[in-house]
Amino acid sequence: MIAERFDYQSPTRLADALRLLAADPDGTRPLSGGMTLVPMMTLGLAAPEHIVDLKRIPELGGIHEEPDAVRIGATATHHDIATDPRVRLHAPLLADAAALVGDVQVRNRGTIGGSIAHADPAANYLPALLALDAVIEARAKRGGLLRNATRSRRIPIGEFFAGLMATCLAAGEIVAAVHVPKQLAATHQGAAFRKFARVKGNFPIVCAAALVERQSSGERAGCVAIGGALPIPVRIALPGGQAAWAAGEVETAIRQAIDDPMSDANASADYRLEMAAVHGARAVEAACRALDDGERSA
Amino acid sequence: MRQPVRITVNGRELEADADTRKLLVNLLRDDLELTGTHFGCGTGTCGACTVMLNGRCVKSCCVLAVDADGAELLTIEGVANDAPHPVQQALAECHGVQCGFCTPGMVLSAIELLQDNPAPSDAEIREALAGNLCRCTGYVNIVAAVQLAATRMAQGDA
Ligand SMILES: Cc1cc2nc3c(=O)[nH]c(=O)nc-3n(C[C@H](O)[C@H](O)[C@H](O)COP(=O)(O)OP(=O)(O)OC[C@H]3O[C@@H](n4cnc5c(N)ncnc54)[C@H](O)[C@@H]3O)c2cc1C
Ligand code: FES
Ligand code: FES
Repeated sequence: MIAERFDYQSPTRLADALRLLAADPDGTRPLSGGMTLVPMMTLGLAAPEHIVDLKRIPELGGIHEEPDAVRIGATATHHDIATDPRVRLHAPLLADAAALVGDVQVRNRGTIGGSIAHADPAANYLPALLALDAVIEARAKRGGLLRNATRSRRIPIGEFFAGLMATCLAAGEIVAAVHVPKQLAATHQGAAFRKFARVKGNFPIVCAAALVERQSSGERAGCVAIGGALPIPVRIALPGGQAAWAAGEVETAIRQAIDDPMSDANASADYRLEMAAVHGARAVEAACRALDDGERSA
Repeated sequence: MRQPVRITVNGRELEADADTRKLLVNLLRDDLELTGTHFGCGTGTCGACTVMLNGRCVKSCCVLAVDADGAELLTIEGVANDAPHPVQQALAECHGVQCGFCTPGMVLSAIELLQDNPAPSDAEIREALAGNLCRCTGYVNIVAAVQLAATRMAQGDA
């Protein structure tokens, strides 16, 4: 049972939800899977006066293929994303990240929109979306007198996170969808996701997403994105002009990019940095292996 | 603040007037007296409160009761017909139950797994049950029980 009183509405129209959110932006919280917000309310860590459930709004759900991207609705669950054939085909890195969120029950309920908006720096999706150059579609009620007028803007993922558990969303603004550019074919690009947690199913201490591709010169270019080391996820370009990277080289690049690692009860700053370097390097190694396999099969 | 909730629980249509602050696990246990759904951590980590909502396992401590309006629920009270469900039978035979606190959640998670994957590997069983903590058994006998249930359900003799 939650201690503080609140009212609950579950509109089916986006304009209605945005109007409710705009009416009292500070006292209102959107609700998606509730896997984070409901426990926070039970524990008294959040006490909104109004809850606006987003799950019954069709525009915010579903997964759609676009010419160059996959549009994932904010209320798509981790299970939806992990099992959708279009995501598996065009954004396998994201599908892998989704499949490793928590446990079955968490994946059946939790959503990508809730995860991104909550902006826990160790959340699985963040490094994957950063490596893939995803774009967040945000929606809000438009100011002025028109009841149903809404505005939409697109925010590159690299500009979305403002600090520890903070985003650039304005009060009353929500994540409506995530646009994930399609990955290249396996013959040209390799990707890998790694999650490191204390116990299977736990929230990660760090996680890493690597993306490497073959350039026309035959050399490889790539990046590794790390979540959980700094207050916001970071994307690190791998040294260019090479055919492969030694683990030590990747680890050094990661250590240089993470100047002031976070520290908490799960992991000290030193340990966190060490795990970021080790698991980041393993992600790059796995992505290179995937690309080797892809090239051989070409 | 109270709101009406219409749900189908184990095939029975029910109406309740729920305080918005009530969690689904509270509604089941306190209002509907379905106390087989257990209340452990209350914050999404232990899996004792697992129920099936529209065919998929969820942790009912992370669902507002009012949010379950219109949903179809299966709780542990609804899984057996005349005889125990094959998963329940196998858990008893394999000594996969000790105190029983985790068992309702384990049973529902195993049922969801076997619906999707009738012949799982041990690793797949462990993955499917990872959201359910057991303080007693050490899991080995639970995994064995799910294997036994899978075999029997595939043979159709359970
Ligand atoms: C046991 C357990 C294990 C977990 N393990 C992992 C893990 O391994 N990796 C991982 O990444 N995550 C993990 N999580 C977190 C999980 O992924 C949550 O589902 C997710 O963080 C929040 O998504 P939600 O849909 O449940 O959001 P909610 O709990 O509904 O909301 C979270 C926050 O976002 C806001 N919000 C929700 N939707 C929107 C929206 N569309 N636009 C703007 N704001 C919104 C809410 O107001 C709230 O502040 C775990 C959670 C649990 C309980
Ligand atoms: S009581 Fe719900 S997960 Fe522990
Ligand atoms: S049997 Fe006691 S918690 Fe699992």
